Amino acid sequence: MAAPVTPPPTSQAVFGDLFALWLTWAPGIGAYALAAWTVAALWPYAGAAAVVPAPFALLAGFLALTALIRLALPRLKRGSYVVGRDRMVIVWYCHLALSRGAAAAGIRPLIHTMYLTRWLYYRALGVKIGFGVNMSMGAAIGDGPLISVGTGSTLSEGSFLVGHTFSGEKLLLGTVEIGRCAYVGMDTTIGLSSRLADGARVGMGNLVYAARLGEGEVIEDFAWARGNPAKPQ
Amino acid sequence: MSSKKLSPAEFAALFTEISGAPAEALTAQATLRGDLGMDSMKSLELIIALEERGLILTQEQTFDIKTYGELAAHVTAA
Repeated sequence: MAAPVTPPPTSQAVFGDLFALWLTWAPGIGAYALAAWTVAALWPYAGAAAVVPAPFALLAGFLALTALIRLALPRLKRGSYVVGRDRMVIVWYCHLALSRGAAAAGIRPLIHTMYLTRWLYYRALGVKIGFGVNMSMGAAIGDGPLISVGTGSTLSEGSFLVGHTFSGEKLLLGTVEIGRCAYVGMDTTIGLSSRLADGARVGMGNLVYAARLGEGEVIEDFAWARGNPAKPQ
Repeated sequence: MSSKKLSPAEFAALFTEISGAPAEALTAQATLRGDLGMDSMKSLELIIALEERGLILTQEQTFDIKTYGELAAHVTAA
């Protein structure tokens, strides 16, 4: 007979919201405050032109605060951790909450419009990302400190790089390494403990984890037909 | 990170901890999924645990490897 399912205590949700308040909202609130202060400070000298530097102040403030908060957090380490027992679960949640900040503040689209701001943002979240990664507006990277992406790689619309999953009461954390000039197709997820070497390609609509693709190896579109992962062609 | 293979005893302890299978069930012929209760999530946990020890095992290999003996041969020193 299966063990009875017990929901987590309400206190867990309360703590979750407190973390979110500080780690998700703080960079956005600080950045908007800096932008407002910039406009107010320049208004007596520049009049309406004082709004011109506001977006730059907003971005700079957000990126700086995100980086500072992330650097103050303990490091994420791969491994398996028991929820409610291991401190690393809380560390992971802190990084997760911080990574939601751009969306919560409504400035994620702004960040994603430029290579420079994307690069700075994901570096701020701890991603080892090269400059010049082609990344669609709807591509996402979770668990930043566990992820690396090489220069010239492409992350297509709806693609997702993620370094965690849950297995029962355990949180599993693993790395995702994307080499240089690799390609991740639309709506493809590259999960933990995966490594794509330089020039490797995973076509659209695949879910790949714990996989190793050698240099130039390919997984075709919609190839995930049996088990995980789809075999390279 | 060292990539030294595990001793059979070390691997057996690690496998028991992750799979929940009793130590006496770990025979060379025991099937991972049928006899020892491994599933995809436990396989992933094992992959991560081995990675921490510098040993690479892919999800694809965990699908191809059927028995405890085959798995042990991959990750333990002869």
